[in-house]
Amino acid sequence: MNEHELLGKLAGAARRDRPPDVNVVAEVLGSIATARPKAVDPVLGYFALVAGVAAAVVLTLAIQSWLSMQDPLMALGNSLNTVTL
Amino acid sequence: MDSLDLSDVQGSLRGDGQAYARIVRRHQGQIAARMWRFTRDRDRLEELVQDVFVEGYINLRSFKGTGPFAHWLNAIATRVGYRFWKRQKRRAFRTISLQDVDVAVLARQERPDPRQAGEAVHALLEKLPPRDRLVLTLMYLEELPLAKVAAQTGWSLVMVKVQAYRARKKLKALLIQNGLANLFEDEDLEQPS
Repeated sequence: MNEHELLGKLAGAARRDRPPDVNVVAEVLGSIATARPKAVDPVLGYFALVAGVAAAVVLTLAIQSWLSMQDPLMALGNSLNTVTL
Repeated sequence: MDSLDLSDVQGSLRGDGQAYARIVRRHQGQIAARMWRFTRDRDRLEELVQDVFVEGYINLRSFKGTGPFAHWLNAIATRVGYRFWKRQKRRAFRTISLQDVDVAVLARQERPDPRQAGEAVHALLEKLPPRDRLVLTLMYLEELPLAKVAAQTGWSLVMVKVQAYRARKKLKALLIQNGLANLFEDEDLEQPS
């Protein structure tokens, strides 16, 4: 007998070994109820968007003023000038 | 069966919890049989079956309906089981000792007892690294053809063959180390001189 035959013989018998009965319907439904992503509150979503845009503007100004060694308010003025022109 | 699965998948995606409950009821026996290859502990078996269905639910949108739902679910079961073995290896879970299962006696019996054979195969394979254990479990216990083993593991066909070959050699070395060299004596006699 080689290892292939040995495995084949034992596994052949083991395949007839039935697992214990399981019933996990309630547990699965409970788990997926908590795993399901919650819908985003539209008001919260709006505030998050506004806050995100404001943070991006502040960050851009900060980087711009740092790069040009300007006062942040001057950088804002220059940016607005560029946009207006 | 497949059309039932498909309509219940669509129902689940629309948020019908009962549709997914029907899927679980229909497939839990088959998934339990698959996960019984990954653990012999009843409590862990339930946890693993549960994990398979939760992961199935989370990934339900990726089921395209091109093949049977059971095959898709089995691939998830393989992933869940493999992850469980890797965790088990790290945390050094309780394992079945080779001394507790008489491999030599079972190998010589004409019809070994299914439960004892199951324990023996489990005890043997759990001594191997998870990759070796996975390939032998899918090939021998699940009797999957090489192409399906490749599909379920995400390995190439050549990789599956190489992994299986190495795994069998490691298993043989393990049996010899445990004083079971006599199992292979007939094989040595059969080899041409």
